[in-house]
Amino acid sequence: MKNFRFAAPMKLPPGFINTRILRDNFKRQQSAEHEVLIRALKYIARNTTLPPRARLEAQLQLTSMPHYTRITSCKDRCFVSGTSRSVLKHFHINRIQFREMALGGLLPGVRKAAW
Amino acid sequence: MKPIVLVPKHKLRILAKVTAEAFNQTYNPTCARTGAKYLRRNLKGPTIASYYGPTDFPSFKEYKKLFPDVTLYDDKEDHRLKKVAALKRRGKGAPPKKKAGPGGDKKKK
Repeated sequence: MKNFRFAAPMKLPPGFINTRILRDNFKRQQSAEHEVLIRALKYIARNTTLPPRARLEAQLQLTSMPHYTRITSCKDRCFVSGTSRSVLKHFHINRIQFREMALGGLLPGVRKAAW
Repeated sequence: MKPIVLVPKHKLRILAKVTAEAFNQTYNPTCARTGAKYLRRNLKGPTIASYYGPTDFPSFKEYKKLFPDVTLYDDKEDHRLKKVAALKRRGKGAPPKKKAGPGGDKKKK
């Protein structure tokens, strides 16, 4: 599939797809792809025992990389509804979806507390 | 009881160097920044990329192709077909194709 919309071809995630989910998915795939390179450049740039010219070049290359290659640009989103607010980290679901799914018995091991 | 003997610092430094060489550790007495922490950290990429599930997860169509003997029921597709049939019954279906010619429209009515 040709992805003219994004800077690089991207694989679609399974399940619910939203514009924002697509954007976030693109960032996730790109940051995963560039992670090793970024680590290596950071190692060179922050290493005080290396020559300053090499460090500067590494730092310049780091800053010239597009922002979507950064892990910090990824935002956890609900993979059922696509919302970004109050997403439970363990389930990857928004609180409202979580409540509905838990009450519907779709989440194994989760039940309503009563005391 | 033996008296406590203070070991001079330079000797301790030599000892540290020798132990670092012996046990394949880095000897960094001045605590210079080597950037080793960026290499030591675990890679997060695979977990971050697979947040929304595996990208090669088979769709319903692919499942049907994988198991042709098993009768599988697609709830969404069934709902769509029912909707289309209901619209057609009310005369709100897709328009007739132009290839059928000018008489094609009248015949259907």
